Amino acid sequence: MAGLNGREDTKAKNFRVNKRDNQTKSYIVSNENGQIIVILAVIISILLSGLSLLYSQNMLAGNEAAYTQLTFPKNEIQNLRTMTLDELRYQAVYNPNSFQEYSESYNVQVGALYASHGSYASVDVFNVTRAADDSITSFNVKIVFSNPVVDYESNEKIVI
Amino acid sequence: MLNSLLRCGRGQAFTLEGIVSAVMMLMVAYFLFHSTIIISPITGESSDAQLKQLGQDALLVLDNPDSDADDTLQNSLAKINSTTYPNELIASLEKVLPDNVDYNLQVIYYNESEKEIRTYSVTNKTYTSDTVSCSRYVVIRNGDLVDDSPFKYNQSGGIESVNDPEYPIVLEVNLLLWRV
Repeated sequence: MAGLNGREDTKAKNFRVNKRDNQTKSYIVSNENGQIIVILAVIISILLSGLSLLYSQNMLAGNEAAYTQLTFPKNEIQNLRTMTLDELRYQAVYNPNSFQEYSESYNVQVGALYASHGSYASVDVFNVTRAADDSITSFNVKIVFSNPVVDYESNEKIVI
Repeated sequence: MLNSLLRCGRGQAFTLEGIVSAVMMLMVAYFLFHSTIIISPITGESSDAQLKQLGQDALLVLDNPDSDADDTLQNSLAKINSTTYPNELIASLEKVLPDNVDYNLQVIYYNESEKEIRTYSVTNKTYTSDTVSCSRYVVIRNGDLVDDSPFKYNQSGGIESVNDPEYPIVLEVNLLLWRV
């Protein structure tokens, strides 16, 4: 009897479990309590989209800054200008008789070296004024630099 | 409906789950790449810009025409010949550059007699595909170069005379940098 009762108990238990499972399934299908989660998910996804847009803009800004820094020939122009003025001053003081020849040779070398990097550079010396003892008192120098990004030209008078 | 939505407190577990998963993803990214910054082709350009600036600054520091020091660009390059290596310049360059950056040093010059650009390699290391080049131009007088210097101008019929000591020689010091 006890065994029969036990079997009936098991049947009743299985029935209850099946009923509960069926109730749970129908509860998940018909339940509408998850709407707040869905709304929050939408809000969070919009926020994430906004943040990713901000991040991509940040990356683009960094890329543009790096590109500008890589392409703008700041160092080439500074280097050309300081090196040229120092050299021409030196030659004007110590080699006034060969000044024109040396400056022309300097121009040829600078032009060839810059041209090997796809740039144009030239150094022209003119209006050289001399004292009675043939020493140089002043001269004008025109420095030109040009590449696909920037054109630079300076024209100045150097007084010794 | 609205009241029930606002009073509903069942989303906390999901919110916590979202935060935990976000933290886990960040940790995985950190352990995989050893950094929270992932180097993409775009950020690679920023890295190149940094490397170029580093090279330009290193050359600027070593470009000192008025100094008598052995490691300046002018004094080191003036004594280069087939047997003399610019050890002081290389030592200073290695001190200036960070440990994770390797380099090749070249000198580019205009050969007056052949009317062409020539390159003299000071170092000849194997480089990677992602390199950055930076240059510094210096002027050395012909008389300051050693007799068998590759940059020496000693052609007759030139501007002044054979071995003109004041003849300006323009050299381009080219530094090729890459990360190791």
